[in-house]
Amino acid sequence: MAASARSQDPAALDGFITDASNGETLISANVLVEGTLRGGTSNLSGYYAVSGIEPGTYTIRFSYIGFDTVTREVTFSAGESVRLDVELLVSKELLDAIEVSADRITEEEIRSIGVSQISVATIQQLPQVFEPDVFRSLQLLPGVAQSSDYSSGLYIRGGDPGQTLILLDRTKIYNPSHVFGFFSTFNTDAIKDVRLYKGGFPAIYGGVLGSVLDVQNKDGNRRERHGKLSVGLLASRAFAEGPYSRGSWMVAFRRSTLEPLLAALQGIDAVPRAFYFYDFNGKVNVDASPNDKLSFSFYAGSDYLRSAFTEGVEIKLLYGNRTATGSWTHLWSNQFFTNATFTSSWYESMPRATFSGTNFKQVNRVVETSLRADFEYYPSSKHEVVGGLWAGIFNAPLTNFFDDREVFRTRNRVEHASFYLQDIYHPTPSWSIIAGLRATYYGYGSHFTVAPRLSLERQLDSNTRLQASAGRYFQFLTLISNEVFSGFDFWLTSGEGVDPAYGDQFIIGIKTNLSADITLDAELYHRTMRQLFVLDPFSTGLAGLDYPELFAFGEGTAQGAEIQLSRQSGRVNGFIAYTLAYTDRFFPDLNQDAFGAPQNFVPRNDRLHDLNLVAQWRISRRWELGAVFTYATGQAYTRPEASYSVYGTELVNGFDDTRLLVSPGLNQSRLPAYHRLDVGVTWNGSIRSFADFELQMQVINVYARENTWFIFNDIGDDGTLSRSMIPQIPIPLPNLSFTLNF
Amino acid sequence: MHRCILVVTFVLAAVGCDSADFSVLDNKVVVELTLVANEPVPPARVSELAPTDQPSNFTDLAITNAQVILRTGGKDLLLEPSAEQPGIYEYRAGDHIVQPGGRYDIRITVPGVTTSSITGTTNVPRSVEILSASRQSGEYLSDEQLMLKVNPGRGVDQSQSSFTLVTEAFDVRVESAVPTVSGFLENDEELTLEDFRISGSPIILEGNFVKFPDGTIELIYPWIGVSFYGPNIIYVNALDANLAGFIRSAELQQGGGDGTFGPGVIPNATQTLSGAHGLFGSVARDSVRFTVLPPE
Repeated sequence: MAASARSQDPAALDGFITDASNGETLISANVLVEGTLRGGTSNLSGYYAVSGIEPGTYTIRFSYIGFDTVTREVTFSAGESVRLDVELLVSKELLDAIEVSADRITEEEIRSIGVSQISVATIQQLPQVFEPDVFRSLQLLPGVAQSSDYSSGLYIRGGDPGQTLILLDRTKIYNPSHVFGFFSTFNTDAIKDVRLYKGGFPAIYGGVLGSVLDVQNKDGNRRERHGKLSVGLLASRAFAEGPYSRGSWMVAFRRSTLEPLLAALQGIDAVPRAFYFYDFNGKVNVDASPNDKLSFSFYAGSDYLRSAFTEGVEIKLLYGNRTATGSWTHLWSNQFFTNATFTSSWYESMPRATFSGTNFKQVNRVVETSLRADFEYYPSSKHEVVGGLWAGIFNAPLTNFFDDREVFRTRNRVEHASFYLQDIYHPTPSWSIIAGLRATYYGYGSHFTVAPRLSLERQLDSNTRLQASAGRYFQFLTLISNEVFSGFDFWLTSGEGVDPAYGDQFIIGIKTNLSADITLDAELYHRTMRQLFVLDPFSTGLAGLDYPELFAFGEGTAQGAEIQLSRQSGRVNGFIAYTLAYTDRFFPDLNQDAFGAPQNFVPRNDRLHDLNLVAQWRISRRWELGAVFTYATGQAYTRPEASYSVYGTELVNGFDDTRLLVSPGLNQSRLPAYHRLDVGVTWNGSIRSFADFELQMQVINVYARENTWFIFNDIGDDGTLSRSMIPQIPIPLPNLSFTLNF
Repeated sequence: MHRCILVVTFVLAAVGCDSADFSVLDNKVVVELTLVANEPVPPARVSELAPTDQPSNFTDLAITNAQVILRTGGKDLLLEPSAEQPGIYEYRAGDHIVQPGGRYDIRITVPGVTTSSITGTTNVPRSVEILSASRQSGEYLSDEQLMLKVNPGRGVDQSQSSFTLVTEAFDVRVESAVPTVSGFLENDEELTLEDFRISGSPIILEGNFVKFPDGTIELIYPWIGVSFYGPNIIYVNALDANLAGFIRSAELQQGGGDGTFGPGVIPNATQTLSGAHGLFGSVARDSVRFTVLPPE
């Protein structure tokens, strides 16, 4: 559709892309100047910029998954900059819930290397245990493993949960869990976008070895007020959003509703005296001018447990997160875009126990305050330059009290600063080269790191792209966590005598459209993890030790292949995700064979095969079926093969027979394979003109597969070892929820 | 191109297979010897590992043909097999008293079982001494806890002492049990009074306590250590690195500590001997008598 092109200064186009129904900015929407191969995608603020457009009249095409494509005819004169803000309408077919148009797939958002995305709508429709959950949905993607039915922890490409940076509106969340790890903290009502960088992430992100989860809150409806109430078996939710004179607002609240059940069960062993969790999200947007947007968002969530086991023994645990983010986006010109953000993240976990009049308490707190300034610069049609500064203070005091006296405290203040610069270079329309560098100074130990990143992309044809990426990554924190119970999680930092962990990632991939509505993504990756540091479990305590003595040091590798076959439109849609992976660790002080020689081991989350089938079937406007099937290699576990007793330590530890187990080493055996089928049905309807409703009925573990969680070893007095299988969710578990939209 | 990707998919699926590796444990000798400062050399135990799939006891597993030599200060102490108790080796050649702060090496050979010697070393902590006690009796759960001023024993290879506190009760009756113990007994039929007669603490580092300029520390005895009212003896143990590592290993295998190990992940114990399992360690100990009075 190109008109007469003249050899003069090129023109440029920029603007914001929003959802017409509610004014929400759309992230990663596509812009294409037809006939030129010029185009781009919108950033986290919904802003896009396209430069290098030869003067003339063009059709500009705006598209986004689930929305009708919009075209605009624009005439550019030489050197002209055109501002064009566009609103996209939700696809009519999607609204009718019958069949989504297939042609939207042809111009889907860029599938960058290492990136996976799952829509909030999909998260809310999948059959899940009690609550729609972001993390449990992400566990269905290739390269993301789960540790058990009871944990929402993300084990991505061989890394543990501490190797994933989790951001909510650009602010880090230090313990993103509820119910001690069963759910993530994210209320799906409040979320607009969930983006997972499984690896090879760009220089804008740093501070972790493995991956990045970037979650954006909704801005709030800019057209009309809207509300939502949901009642579930575990928790209930309320959500409201709406416009005001200068922008929009959004609030979302969720709280567990287990008190009546707990009251009825009091007196039964292991039933806590009290338990609740809640979270509260909010966001306010201010359109200060056409080129200035301000936003303020916050999150607050907590879990509380009180339990008493017998006379004189009581345990209390309170943990939670608070975050606040203030952001100013300014559009200086169609070539220069900036964002300044203030972030504050607070996490506290305070387990307390009283045992026979003796009090135990741990105060575990993280307070991080930071300022960051990012820019995007579009100097020419061949370059997109992004960069930024990030500086902050990380405060993480960990204090242990015993018998009401402080017995241990870690250093609690670290200044850090990062600078990054990245150029997206398009030497030809079919090639993209992204070169980036991230430099970081970390005050504790005066560590200075430089992390180069490089990725290449070659568009073979309109349907197929080849991608490759390599980069170095550093991590200054280590998460001390027990996968069974996240309420005690705490963080320790690199410091004097403890170098930051680092690792390299190498990825190659291919993204292709097999047909108009079927896509196939495949990636191979290899990762190294060096200078890993974890709290040494063999350390006989924390007090009085030099800082490096707290840790065990090691390294690891991970490699794998991931394939995802997706159909995102039609009455039946979903995806098949398969992962072939291997990861290992080498910590000389943690794992020795029966002769005491250090050896490698595989972590529990290592799974050679991981297959997920996700399907949704829109039967009619009112009815929808969903199903998820998972198969995975059984997890690694330690199988003791012998034991011995020591009899002479009764006056040392109180036991007249201290029996120890002996195995060939950590995790050399495998549990039976894991598999599970979950199904759900959704009934949509209306209550007159007042509200729409949605009734969800789901069954988890339909065929009652008794997947093994772990093996419990119990040695009898005669020395024989009994091995008991501790099951994951062993029975079909029903779930019911009712949601009103008004 | 699409066909190639599908082929690769199937190849990748085919080459991967679930594995289940098992290896035989060839290192089967178990040795136990814990020296106590200022006490005679105790008997050593030498046996084999117990299989996990059949009943066994120490007598069944005892190794009777071992040669056990303890060496200190250039002098060899031969521990000879007991005639009455298989697997027990006793020092009968003299009346050697374990020297606080001394270094002891052990060498064991087991003909027909090991091809090379089993060796180990322990540095006995210097004498631990309770210099004073704030009281001889106290009311259970009262604010006035027992405070001990202690001269900490420390091994020559240790930057600070590792302690355990062990309480031995002498009035072991249901009527004397503190409420927590009574609760445990009521809730678990397998537990007996004898299970609570001696109770021990986890390892506590010297850094946990108030230190005085003269090197002594103030140790406040927590009420959690008390299981029974009445007379109790409180032992203060200073552990050498081997014994501390062993105790910590036992705690880890039982799921204790700030473990980063997931469920079902069980580390082998820290090795205190080369070529054998078990424990070769030492401890320095002092004790004090303390009477616990029931609350009024």
